[in-house]
Amino acid sequence: MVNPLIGIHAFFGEFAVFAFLWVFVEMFNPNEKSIERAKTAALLGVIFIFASWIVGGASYVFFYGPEVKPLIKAGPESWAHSIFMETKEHVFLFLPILSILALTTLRTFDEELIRNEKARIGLMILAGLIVLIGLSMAGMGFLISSGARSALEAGVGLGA
Amino acid sequence: MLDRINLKGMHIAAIVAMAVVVVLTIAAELSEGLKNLLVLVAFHHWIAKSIIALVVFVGITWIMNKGDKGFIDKFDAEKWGKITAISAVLFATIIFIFYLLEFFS
Repeated sequence: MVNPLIGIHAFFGEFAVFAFLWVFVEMFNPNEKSIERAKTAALLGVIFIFASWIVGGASYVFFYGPEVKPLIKAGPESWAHSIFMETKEHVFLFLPILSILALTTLRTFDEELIRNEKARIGLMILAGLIVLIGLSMAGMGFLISSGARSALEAGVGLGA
Repeated sequence: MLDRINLKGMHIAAIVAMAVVVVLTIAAELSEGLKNLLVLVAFHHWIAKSIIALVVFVGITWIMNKGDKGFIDKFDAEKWGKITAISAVLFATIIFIFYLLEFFS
């Protein structure tokens, strides 16, 4: 069976994307209630990103590194690790920082967001950026698992 | 929570922390000594980079928040949102291109 940590990592990551997409949508036409909902969504997003960070880190250090990485590197799609996993693991580090920044912007402006269009656009840029980087993480995750699958299909590791 | 935090300082902290990730990533790939040092510090180079990025972000935010917290009505959130977003996309592209070139070199 595939290590469940990778599934839990993806679950938290995807829900973090949904949470910040929710923040983005709430900013189109904000009122007191939508600001409160956005604050809840942003807090959930930060929690999900940190959970994804910790679970993904444990999965990467204790499972992916020793078992999957050598398999991909010996397989026909070694670029899946060398380019996409390397990019993913480092660009991911932007997300906890950007999510705290988005949550702080939201909580600092609070109901001022209803009247301040620039603050609203600034927050939407941050939330949209988190969504786009999050979606790129999911896309790179697909390429990495394709790399592992192609290595297994090529029989890598079977003769060891 | 109005006026309690210097948001401009926090944006600067985020940009610097992301830049530190880029510099550490490229430097550790080019220098085996630095990579080994990061492993020595935190068991795995990625964990070390994670901790350093967070410490830089929190540290600069704290330093920038010690002085003038700035007035929220003077803070241009749209401008700083754009600057931070462009920086993040640029830094992510640099990391991607670096590993692309590493792979084909």
